[in-house]
Amino acid sequence: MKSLEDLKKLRDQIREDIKIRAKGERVKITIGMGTTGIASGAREVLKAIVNELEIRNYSDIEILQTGSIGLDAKEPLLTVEKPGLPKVTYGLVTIEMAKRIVVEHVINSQIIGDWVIRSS
Amino acid sequence: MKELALNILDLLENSAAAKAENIMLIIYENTDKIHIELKDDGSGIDGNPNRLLDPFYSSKNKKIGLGLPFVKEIVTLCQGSMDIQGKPGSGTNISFNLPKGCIDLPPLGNIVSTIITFITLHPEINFKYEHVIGEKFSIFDSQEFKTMLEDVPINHPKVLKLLESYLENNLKNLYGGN
Repeated sequence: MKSLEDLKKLRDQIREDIKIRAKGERVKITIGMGTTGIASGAREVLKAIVNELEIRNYSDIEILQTGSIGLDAKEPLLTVEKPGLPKVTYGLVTIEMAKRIVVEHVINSQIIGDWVIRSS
Repeated sequence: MKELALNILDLLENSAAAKAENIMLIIYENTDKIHIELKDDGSGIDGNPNRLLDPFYSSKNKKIGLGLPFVKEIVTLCQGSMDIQGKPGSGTNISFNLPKGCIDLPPLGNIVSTIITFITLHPEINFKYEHVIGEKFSIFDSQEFKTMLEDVPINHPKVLKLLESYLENNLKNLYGGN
């Protein structure tokens, strides 16, 4: 960002974008951000998710955090809730996996079964 | 933790769990030492603050992890110093000093990544970050960005990308040159 003008320009652009694209149904992603989650790479996983969303121009999304849920050995943990699909938790998520989860599950509604550790 | 920036993220998450609305992170570096300070206006600390350094202490009301015990370990290994202040209702203030020559001191690491992650997860918290290196300093205030963004969320992926390059640039100017 070179100036505040850039930020204003981006703001107006995003506003237009939201008007055209927003379908009103939001995907909820929850990431484990307790001590274990952070130590096992949750920050990098979250960054990869945001990056991928930016590249795909997808923003109907809510990203939340949670502390330890008792599955520390499976951190980083990522839970995806998309309207119409079961709520699914992925474990031992890497940066590469995070990118695919965004494209296949979040955007294209295809749950990646092999990586799921909990489904409800 | 491989980076101090990850310890900082853990402590920031504690502040969020303590319902802080305003958080300030100050990093002060010179050739000999690094000083890190975190102030929040969350629920503060009930009882003796030092018990939070005990890895076996846990409170049922507060979900705080091993963030503080891990920092305490580095402080002990490097013979640095640490201070925790906070009473119920008056927020928490954590600061620690570490000598840069210490072999057990993890690098500061990617502080920009820590800040972006925190803003992604907690857009409603007003976050201030001040970084001083020798004579140079940079200041970031998320509130200013939010005012400018009006109804557009600060954690929109495109805004985050812009914020990241903005913070990286600031940091580059801090470390680079004379």
